[in-house]
Amino acid sequence: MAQAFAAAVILAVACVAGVVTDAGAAAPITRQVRPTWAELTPQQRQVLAPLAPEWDQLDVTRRKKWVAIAERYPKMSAEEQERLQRRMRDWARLSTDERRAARERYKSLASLSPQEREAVKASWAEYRRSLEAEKPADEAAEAPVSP
Amino acid sequence: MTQEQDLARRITRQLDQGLAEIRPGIAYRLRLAREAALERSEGEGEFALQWAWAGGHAPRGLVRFLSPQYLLPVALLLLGLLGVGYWQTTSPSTEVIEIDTALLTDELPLNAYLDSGFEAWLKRSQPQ
Repeated sequence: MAQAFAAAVILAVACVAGVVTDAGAAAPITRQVRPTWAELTPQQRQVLAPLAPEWDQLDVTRRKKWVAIAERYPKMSAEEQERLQRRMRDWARLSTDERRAARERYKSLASLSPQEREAVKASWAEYRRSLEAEKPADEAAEAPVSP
Repeated sequence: MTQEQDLARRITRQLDQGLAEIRPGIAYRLRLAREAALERSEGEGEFALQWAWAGGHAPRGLVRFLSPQYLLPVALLLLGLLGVGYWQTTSPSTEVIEIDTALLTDELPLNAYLDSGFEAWLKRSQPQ
């Protein structure tokens, strides 16, 4: 009886340990990861609709994060809601390193004063203009020679 | 002298008188009964830490650690720890949730945070 009990305990511990070990694995997820798309509430599915095609590929941590973001959605302004839904798929498709780097840059800019942040926005517009101005020359240089 | 003390004195006098007149056979049986009672009471009063299987047969060596008395609490503790660990490793931090929410709703587009060229541009344009 004791041996059977010991075997059952070891099996249970091994199963739970396996789940923990696999939780952050980047390999294709074959085990049922929750919440599944069907398990989301209709409101959550509506907010996270841009992620629907990728949902099955997301690991459990990222699913929980998106659910948490979806819960904040009703409190956002209409403009923020639109931005969120427009950007979420691009964000989800970035690599872990790219997301980490973006978060670090955000943190450094978030610590600025409102005036400085306005200056950063102006700088972004200026930076974009400078890129646009450089583009034709670059494209011409990189363009393949036509036959 | 109170009434109670007087009553007690009379009872003890009667008992002493009865003891003096008691037959030897009865006195012997009373002594045996008293000794048996004392013997029993000595065993009951002792307290000592004992294994859970005390009184039955105690397994020896490592086998005793495979008994449910040991394994059940250990298994519950392990499962509890694993559950907490699983929850912690799979739960996104509040900071990540807040930053991601802010990034995705910010006035600056995502590219502003992804473009390392912009970061360099900002550093160059900052007044020294």
